Amino acid sequence: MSGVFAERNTLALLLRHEARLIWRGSLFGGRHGWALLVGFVVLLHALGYGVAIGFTNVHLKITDQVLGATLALLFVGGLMLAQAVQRASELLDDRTDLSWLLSTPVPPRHILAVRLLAVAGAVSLYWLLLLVPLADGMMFLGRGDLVGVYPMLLVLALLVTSCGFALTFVLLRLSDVRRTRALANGFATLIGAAVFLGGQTRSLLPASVSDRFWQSFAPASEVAAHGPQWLPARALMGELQPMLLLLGISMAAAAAASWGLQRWFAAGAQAVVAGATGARAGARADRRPFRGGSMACLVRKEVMLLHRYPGLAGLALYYTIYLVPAVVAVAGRPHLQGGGAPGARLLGVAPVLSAGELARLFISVTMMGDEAAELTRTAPVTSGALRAAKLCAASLGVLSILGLPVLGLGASLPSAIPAMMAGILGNVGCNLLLGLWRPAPIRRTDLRRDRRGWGGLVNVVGFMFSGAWSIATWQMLQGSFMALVPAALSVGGLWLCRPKREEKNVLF
Amino acid sequence: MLPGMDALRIVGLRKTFIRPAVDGLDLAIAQGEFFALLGPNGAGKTTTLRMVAGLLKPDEGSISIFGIDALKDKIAAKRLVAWLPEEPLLYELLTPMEYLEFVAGLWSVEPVLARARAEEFLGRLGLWPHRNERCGSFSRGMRQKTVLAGALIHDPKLLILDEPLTGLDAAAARDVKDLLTARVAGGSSIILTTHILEVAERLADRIGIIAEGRLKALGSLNDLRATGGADRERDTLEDVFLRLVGKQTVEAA
Repeated sequence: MSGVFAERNTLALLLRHEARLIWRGSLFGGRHGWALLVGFVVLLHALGYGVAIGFTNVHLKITDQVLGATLALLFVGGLMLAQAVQRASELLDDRTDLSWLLSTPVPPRHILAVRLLAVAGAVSLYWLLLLVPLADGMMFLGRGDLVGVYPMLLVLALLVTSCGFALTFVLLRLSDVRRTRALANGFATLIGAAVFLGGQTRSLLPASVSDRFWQSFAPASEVAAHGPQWLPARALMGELQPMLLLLGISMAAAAAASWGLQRWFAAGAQAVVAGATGARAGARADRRPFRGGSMACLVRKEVMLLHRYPGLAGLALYYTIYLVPAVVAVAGRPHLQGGGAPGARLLGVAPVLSAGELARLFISVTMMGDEAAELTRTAPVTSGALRAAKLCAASLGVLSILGLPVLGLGASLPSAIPAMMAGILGNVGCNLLLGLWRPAPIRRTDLRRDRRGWGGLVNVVGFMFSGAWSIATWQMLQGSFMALVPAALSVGGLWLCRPKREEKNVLF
Repeated sequence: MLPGMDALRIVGLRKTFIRPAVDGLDLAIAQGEFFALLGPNGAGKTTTLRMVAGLLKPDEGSISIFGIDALKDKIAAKRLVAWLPEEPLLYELLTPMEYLEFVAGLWSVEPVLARARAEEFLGRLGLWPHRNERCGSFSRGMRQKTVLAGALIHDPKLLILDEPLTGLDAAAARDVKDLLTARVAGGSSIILTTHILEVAERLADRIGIIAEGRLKALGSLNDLRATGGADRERDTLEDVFLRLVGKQTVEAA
């Protein structure tokens, strides 16, 4: 019997299936994926080692180390929790293979356990990429105690994912699929925003006040640092017993979530399959007369689909939340408000970054969310009109979110307007075209539709464009001609991303 | 549009993917004709229809719709055509009313007329009570009927239907068949593919049987029966079909 069919343990089979889907949907799922992965890991470790060298001369008291480790865990765990809640609610959209899997003899707890592990893996991925190379670099330089980073990432991922699933299914039990998704997204956004803003206290408050605030939470002495509340910090710092204890707790939490939520999970999936999603009445079209105009109706349709895309408000808030500390920092510190001061430059750059990220998000949603693209291709409208409608709807989305803040910024910092507007237009243009040519998958199901095969790489490229235009804006605000270099690099990069001749037939 | 002009004329149509999907197809469909294109899976039916609908560019050949060169003047040709694919293309986040408003807008139908037609079709197809529900919650049959209403809202002169009855219950299938028959009686032309041979036998004026991208037979049911000889007068379309394309191919389908 071949290996594929020899598998009898459904949990292992599902795990392997999920891992295969994730791997093939990833940046490394192509022909030379393993080589690319090794190269990527080596590059990250080189960077991590470089950063670690900068920390070799940092010596902190044990109480400060414990406080720092605890805050780091809270920060990472909070952001992971926000992502876990959002991903758990996305499961409710994943209708196709979920309903099919539930029709097989596989126990629902196995399906739930595998989904839970997949989400745990997804929420810890960014932190693995960010923290592990740094921890490895530190360990190479003699900080062997930082081996605790590995198990603590696993502990955090399992705990927050279990909590995220529990929250989502409790919400589902109390309301319907649509409200659950909205509430879960709102909750995830609030957690993410609170954690992010908490991490920005040095921007929001004077440094002395911020430091005093955090120090008030520090353990009073080295003896006090052994209290139970500091257990996670000590595990992170490499102590074996707390580490094993927390690993045990997190695994038990994941097992309990898989076991305890299985019935609610199956019931929730049935509610989704039964069509409880998005069945809300939309009586307005019934009362008002139809509106005409092919271009206008194309734009209206795109705007309507954008507006109704599940969880888009939460996603958009994620992309803009980091504007808040910048605005508060400059507004609260009058000495930073001069045109050339770093604070004003920061203020000018923040909307440029946000605008590009939002533009790519919105255009990708209009591309990936277009379930009936072939319908519009059979209509008597040009392919240019179809593209223009998508670009227009995405631009309107960006304008609706950033219009007022940018107007306010322009009024308070008139000297920054030309640079800011040039940066915003350049970045929005680059990210819109990138998203139009290479739409970024928004959800797991989008990976199946991503026929051009760039997957999540599009977001990396788009973020590089945003970075380049932010740097260009920063330079423009300084009055430097060097602004042309990142702007030109961004435009050149975009040129390389354009669809090839044969791909154009697939696009429209 | 001149009287007597063919609704659809295909000459020497070719399309190759890995192997030839459509291989030198010639076909003419008259105004007010109900035409069924039959064939086993992979015969080239859907590829042909997608080329007529303007979704695929042929490698060779010409397509003219009511005298308009569909490969040169795509927009003018598309104004006269509606395409209904096997898998209903629908926006799950829109209600049927919003969907119909959108489709009517694409074909520039005058809004008051579009609204009246939307109400008529939703009523006839039993979708009126669901007009304000989002299509995401619809069954396969309801989706198919919504898409059919969308296909009819701009009063197309040529309807291209790819397996339009798939997934419909008996009552819904009857509704759709009645609607299509009424369209043909009103002067529209229909080209339809189906695996339900009884539908083609009952509805179609002429039947084309295609296999390996080539037309194997063309004509009315009686014409097709006659290809088997004088003793074949009582053959059903299924008998004719199996004789022409081979039993094995059908079983594979």
